[in-house]
Amino acid sequence: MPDSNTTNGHAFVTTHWSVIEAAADPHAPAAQEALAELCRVYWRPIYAYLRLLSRARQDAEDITQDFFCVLLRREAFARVTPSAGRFRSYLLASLKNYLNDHDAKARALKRGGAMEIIPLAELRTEETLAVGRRTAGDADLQFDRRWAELVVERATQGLRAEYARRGEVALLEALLPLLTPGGSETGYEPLARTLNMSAASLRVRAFRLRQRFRELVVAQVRQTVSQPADVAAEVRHLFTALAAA
Amino acid sequence: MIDPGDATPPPDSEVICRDCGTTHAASGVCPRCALAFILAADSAATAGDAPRDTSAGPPPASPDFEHYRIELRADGTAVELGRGGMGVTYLAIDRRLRIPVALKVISPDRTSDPEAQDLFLREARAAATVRHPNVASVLFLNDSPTRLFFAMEFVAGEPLHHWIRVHGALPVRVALDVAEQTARGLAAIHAEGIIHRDLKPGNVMLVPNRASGTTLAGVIAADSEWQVKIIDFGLARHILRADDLAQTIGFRGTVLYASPEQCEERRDLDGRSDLYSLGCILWEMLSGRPPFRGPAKRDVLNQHVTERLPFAELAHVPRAVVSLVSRLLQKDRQKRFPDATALAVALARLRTELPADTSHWKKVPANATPPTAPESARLWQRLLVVAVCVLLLGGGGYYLLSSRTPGGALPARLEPTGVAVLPFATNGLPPEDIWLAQGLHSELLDTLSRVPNLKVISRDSLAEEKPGTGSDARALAAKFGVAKIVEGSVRKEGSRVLVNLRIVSPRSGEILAAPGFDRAANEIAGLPSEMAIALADALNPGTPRTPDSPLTNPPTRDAAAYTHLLRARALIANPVEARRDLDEAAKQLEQAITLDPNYAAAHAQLSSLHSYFYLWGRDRTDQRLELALQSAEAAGRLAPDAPETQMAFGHFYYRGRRDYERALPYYRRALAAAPGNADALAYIGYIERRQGKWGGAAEKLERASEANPLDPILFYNVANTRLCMHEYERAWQILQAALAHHPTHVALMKLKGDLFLVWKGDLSEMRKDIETRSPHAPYAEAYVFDKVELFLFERRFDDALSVLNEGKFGLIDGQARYITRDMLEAEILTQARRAPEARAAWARALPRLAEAAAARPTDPRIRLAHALALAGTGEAARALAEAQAGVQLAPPEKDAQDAPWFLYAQACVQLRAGQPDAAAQTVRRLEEMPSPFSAHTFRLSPAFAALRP
Repeated sequence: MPDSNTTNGHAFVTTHWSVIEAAADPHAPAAQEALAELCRVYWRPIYAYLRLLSRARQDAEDITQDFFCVLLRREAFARVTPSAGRFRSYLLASLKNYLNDHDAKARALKRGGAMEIIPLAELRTEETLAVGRRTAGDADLQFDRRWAELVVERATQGLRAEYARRGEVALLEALLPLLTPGGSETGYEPLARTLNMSAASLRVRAFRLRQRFRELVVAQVRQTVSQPADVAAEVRHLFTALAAA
Repeated sequence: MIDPGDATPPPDSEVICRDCGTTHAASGVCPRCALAFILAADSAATAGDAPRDTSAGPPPASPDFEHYRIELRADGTAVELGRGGMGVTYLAIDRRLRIPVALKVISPDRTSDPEAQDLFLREARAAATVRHPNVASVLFLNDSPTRLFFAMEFVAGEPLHHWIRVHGALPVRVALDVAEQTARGLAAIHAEGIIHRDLKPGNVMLVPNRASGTTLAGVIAADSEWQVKIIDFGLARHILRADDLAQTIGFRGTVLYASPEQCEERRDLDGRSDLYSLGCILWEMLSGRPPFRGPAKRDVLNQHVTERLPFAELAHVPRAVVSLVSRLLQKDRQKRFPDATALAVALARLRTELPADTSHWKKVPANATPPTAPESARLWQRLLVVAVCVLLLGGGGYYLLSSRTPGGALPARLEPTGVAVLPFATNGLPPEDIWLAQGLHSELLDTLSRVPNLKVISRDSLAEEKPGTGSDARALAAKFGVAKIVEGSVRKEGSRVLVNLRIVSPRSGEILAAPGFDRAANEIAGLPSEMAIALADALNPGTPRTPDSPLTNPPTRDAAAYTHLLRARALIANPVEARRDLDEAAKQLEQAITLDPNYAAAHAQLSSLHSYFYLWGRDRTDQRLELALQSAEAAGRLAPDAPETQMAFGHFYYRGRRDYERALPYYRRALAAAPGNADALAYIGYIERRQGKWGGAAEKLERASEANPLDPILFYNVANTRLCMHEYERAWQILQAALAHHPTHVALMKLKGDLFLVWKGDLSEMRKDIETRSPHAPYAEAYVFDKVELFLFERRFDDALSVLNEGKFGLIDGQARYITRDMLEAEILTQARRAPEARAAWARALPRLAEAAAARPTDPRIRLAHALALAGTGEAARALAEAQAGVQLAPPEKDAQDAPWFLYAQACVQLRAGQPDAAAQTVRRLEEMPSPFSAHTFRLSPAFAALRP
């Protein structure tokens, strides 16, 4: 599933694309702010990518910062052709563009020679955040994995916020495992007893939870693709990235 | 501006998902499982609001399903035959008919899912419409929504993938047979308007053919030893039902066998998609592995869509078969066969055009005994036993077989300091830059060989590993006997070269370290050293390393020169059989030297290449040797202590001057500088062999093979050394191990024939070798020669002459033998006792040989060839003198390896020059000394018939 199918001529009418387009307008400070918000959301895949290219932690953080700086000054976006209508691909392409165009910066970071090797201990602690434990695959794949994790994480955060508003945080934590097949292998009855509800009403709650979770994931992904029809393919792509361990 | 703690706090701790093994934050849900759930629910998005239970339930509460009863083990658990997304397949007994069946029951968690039910029913109904001997039949369907199951014909066989995993590639003819039957099954499936969509070796069952009877003769005589059954219609769908639910869920099927159009998730799939999958299966049957592999699904998907096929893996397969496979695997389905029937016809025709005997299972697993009965018979008997067990005992047999799979097993002890650095993945490189990955890989291996206490698997053993493979670290570790696997990838981004390495522990699958390197393309000269240091540190953290460590000598300061060297190294790194671009490699090295005349490594490489050209007869001229010497001396002036320089001198004296005494200290110094250099160790072994120190030679060669465990040439030499020492049992053990890895390697097959001749006087292996070997390049001449040799032993003189006249034969210019076409014809006629014709033929051969002998009087091969021609034309005295002179040039004391060949020729000359007593004495001498001959050779060869009572 190459991401290189160009969709020239498509109007990117929605979502993050409109933010990017609007941000390109120097007279739209609100869009600028929206873009900054996007950067705050999506720094981790970028960081993971840079981290896997063996930048030392501090370097990766510096470059991440600098990349988003450049991004906000609209220097990196300008020369990237939106590809496949996916914000994810677009952001990664922008990053690569940035890295290519900033040899001086990269060279500055290269000082340190053998220091670029990721020490084992560091891998084990910090990379759980940045790179993920199962690091088979290349940096692009890491980027996609981290992205996928982020999408699920944000959907889960959305659930937490909603349940918190209803004062059902404890219920949510009990129900969360039901989002995956393994969580429910013991069956509903024991859990229903713990929660002091009937198995039938637990089923209904679980069903609603899954529905809502799905909606939140789809909404997340919807923000990053140009066409609603691309959502399923993007979810599949993200799943493939995670499954490629 | 960006606060790492701002939007999403880092996870405090992690857990491993119990379902899929993905590591994820303890505070959240497993992202992989969550997305899998989204995908599964995707098609149900428009379904009603009724709560559906997606949790897994307990195993079937009751073993009884209508009149079927699931087989239970002693502990009460059910005997499962398979498990998929939709349901579980159990072994069951039809209590009415009293036959075993495969009972597929919808997963308990799907029983209230209408879409799942629909898919399940569709699978059963699709399979039920097809009635064909090569497709497993559906016998019964219970469509009650509360108890959805169907019964299928129980196929008491072995899945194809299991067979390949245990035994490796199939003989060509058998592979074609299996493919043909599969195609016929597919034709029947397609005729019902259904496409399978998940055709893979796991869904192709091999069943012993009962029609062939239970006797050995019956099995061999039967047209097919196997009946193929296609199973599992879990993804099948109707071609024309565009609204089909199964297709809305996205990519399905097994990625290794998916057609490009499946990978692209096209909706207009047709039967030709299954034909592509069958092409992948055929490829795997022929080579032991599917055509495209990779660590990530995405890589494989991309390869199906864009990558060229790695045809080198089918180098041993007849061209017509490769051409058929290539047509099946066309990216553009228009270019494939139009339908499965056309394919089946083509396969059948192709099979009849192949030599009849290739149906034998001639591949020998590592632990096999000498081939007393055809493998096919034993296998058949084994499968029959399994089938009978299943039938009689009511289950367990199938699984018994499957669970013995050595798949993930690791030997108890892996060499702790051993490491296999796999060829680098090149996915990130455009095709014109692949050399970059190959060249850097070669350089890295050389540099690593200098690290003390590290056993690095050498390049020649990695020849078969596809770049970027590494998904199965356990299998690789077991194969190489090493405790660490290093994978790497090289990519280019703009003007930068990025290399990522990963050290994987095969036992845990854990990534132990992942050093990465990012250099401007004109700054990569020091990269191999840096990579080696990083790996050495990570692999052996205790080893102190000083800044002036021998790993860190910068090769050249000229970036372009280094590029040329890398290109040359990439060309040289090809396996021996594929070395066709060595001239280009030499040119690249010359360009490197032009750019940087002080580039020692380039001089050294070029020197080794020149002496290689000389040794293998590519250019056996003094000028070539002079070039080798000049380059070695240049390297010697620039970097006298570098192991490459030492190797260059060693090769010059060994390959060029045949001056083994002088070569030896160079190889020793090379080994001292690079203790992991398996080549240097092997050459020391070769020299000791020539010096007659056979025991020491065998020991060194076997030690070299520890670091180079899969190199067929080294295998050949190790086994041949034992053969010459008349240690036939040991030679056979080694040869079996070699053949298990390289079942069709020409030199190994030839050695097997030789071994059974000298060991047991048995010509059958030699016969089999010739009958199954490709007569085409690059071994066309050897084919003719070996076939003539066999026919002479069999006294089929007319056939030998026909082979010579029909085949391509000009000259054998080998290490120990120099045989022109005229000579070979004369030799056949001589052994056929057709005296006048023989004399005329020798007379035709003589002038050229006389000329060659005059031009190169120090070449014992040519002097003995000349002697044979003189004897053949009746010049007895001159012949005897010439033979004696030839033997004197390289007596056993001077070259224990080649001398037996010269003595053999001398014995022929003595016999033909009327000195049978002298001949008999020479033969006795040969029988007693280490040599590739034995009493059987002389007993069977018509050349020595006169010596027999």
